[in-house]
Amino acid sequence: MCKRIAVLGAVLVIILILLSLAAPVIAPYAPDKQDLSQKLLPPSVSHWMGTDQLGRDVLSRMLYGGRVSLSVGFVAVGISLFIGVLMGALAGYFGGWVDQLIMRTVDIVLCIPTLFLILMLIVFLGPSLFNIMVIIGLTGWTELSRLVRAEFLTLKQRDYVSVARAVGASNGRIIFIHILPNALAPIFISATFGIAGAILLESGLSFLGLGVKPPMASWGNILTSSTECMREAWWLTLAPGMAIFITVLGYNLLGDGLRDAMDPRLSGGDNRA
Amino acid sequence: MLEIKNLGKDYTTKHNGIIKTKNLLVAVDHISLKLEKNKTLGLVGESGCGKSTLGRLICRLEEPSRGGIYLDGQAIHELKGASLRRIRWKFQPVFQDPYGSLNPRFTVYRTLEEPLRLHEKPGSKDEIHNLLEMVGLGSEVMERYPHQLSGGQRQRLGLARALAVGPELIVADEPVSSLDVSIQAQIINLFLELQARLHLSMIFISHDLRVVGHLADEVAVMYLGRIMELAPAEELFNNTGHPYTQALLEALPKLEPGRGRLRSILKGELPSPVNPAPGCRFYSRCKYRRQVCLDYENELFSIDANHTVACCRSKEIK
Repeated sequence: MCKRIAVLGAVLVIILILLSLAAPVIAPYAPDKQDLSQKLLPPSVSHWMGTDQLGRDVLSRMLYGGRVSLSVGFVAVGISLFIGVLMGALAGYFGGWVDQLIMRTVDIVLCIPTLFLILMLIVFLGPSLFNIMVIIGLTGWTELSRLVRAEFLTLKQRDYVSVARAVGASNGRIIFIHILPNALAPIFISATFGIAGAILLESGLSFLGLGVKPPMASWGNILTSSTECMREAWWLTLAPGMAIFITVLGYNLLGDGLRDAMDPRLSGGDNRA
Repeated sequence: MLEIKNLGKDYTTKHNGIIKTKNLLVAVDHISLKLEKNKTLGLVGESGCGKSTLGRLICRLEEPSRGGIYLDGQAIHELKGASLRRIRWKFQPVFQDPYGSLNPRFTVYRTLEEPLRLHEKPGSKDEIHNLLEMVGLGSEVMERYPHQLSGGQRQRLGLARALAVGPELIVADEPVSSLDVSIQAQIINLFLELQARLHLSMIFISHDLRVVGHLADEVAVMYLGRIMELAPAEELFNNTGHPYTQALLEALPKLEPGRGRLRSILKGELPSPVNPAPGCRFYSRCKYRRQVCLDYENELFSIDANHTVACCRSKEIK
């Protein structure tokens, strides 16, 4: 049962990735092609999701917006993962002053509300897709590093780590080959949730006009422009809202599924223990 | 071959309450031992007596607080970093929990290949096949993960891993305690067989006097981080010199009914090793205690050629 839900999550995520990758091929119109004579049309055969107030095809804009969401999700979480895993691993494995230094830095970063920090940085650096990705990535590693540190604190006590040290494995080898693979399950879960979070954050920033700049399409700014004409064309809010919801749901379900798949004890096979 | 001089290990336990307090936990203290090549030293004691800590110190998995460990005359307690890693193959641990001491993501093959490669041996399938055969495992387990092996198979693999690098000394920390009794005997015999075949020295840590008596040439009885009695196995059983060893021996189940009446069951728990009180360590639980014991710090003295005891009244109580 649990597996079926995880597969649903994976299917949702894969469909969204494929749709975004194939956007230039399958989009029926150019995402920024305006036709004021065709504005605010309800969904029809020629415009599946209708048109917005500038007469642009919403389906095409949604497909291109999906690429923004995906790249923000993956790049931002990639940056967070890199920093968070490295910092958490060093702090948890070495302990002592290394741990103190890294964890107090994390405390300081966590003191500042993330959204305000991001808003402030965007005001200084200017809103652009690149800045959004990097800023979300650079502010999102703290909780991951705490998680990784906690994993390392327990795993480094295991006998197999002592055994690895006893055969002469170096610290780097113990960290990356013996401990990290055993800590991957929670990291992966956290990362998939992180992707969902980053997509939500980007949508929110774009909704506030501080994210991806129009005319470039993003689910957030499609949602903003659709709210301006909600009375005449309520259906326009449906597509971006549902897309954000389904994407976040898909990644969350996938996260749970990965957790089960990553644990060798839960997989089937010749289990004699 | 192995010589330990005055080895000690302290831990500080901090309590960051309103008032900061620092306590000194003396895990192991004043340990001096010698182990000849091809011989087995048994370490016995209750849980918490420091025998595992001593094992980890000898394997250089913990830093000693004082004293020295010499292997073939080389001061291995002074080595650090790469020079320590290069010599680690000489002393290998085997742990109590065979599942916990195997990386759950490593197959049997990888578990055995890693130590070989780290010490610049090719780690070919043949070599690994030989290792498996030596500990009585077939090559069919090569691609299995630890969770797909039985308890006995895991401990055999743990031993194969320790032997992979061709060590001179094996420190076995309760290697059979978590196994079924029927499998315990098999693994113990495997230890004996391999020791004879590979000319290994061995430190065998256990809380079970019978197992140690069966395996060891010499036995050290530990209590609260100190050695209480050190003697050849025979001598320890027949000519017991320390009241603690006596109590341990009497606690063993006996075969003859009626004669198995326990004369001196130990009462109470092991005292806390944090900030220990002066005087004999065993004072609080000893039935022979006298005023003189409070001025005695468990210095070892010989009562026979190879027999040393840390009891100031051992001559009177025998």
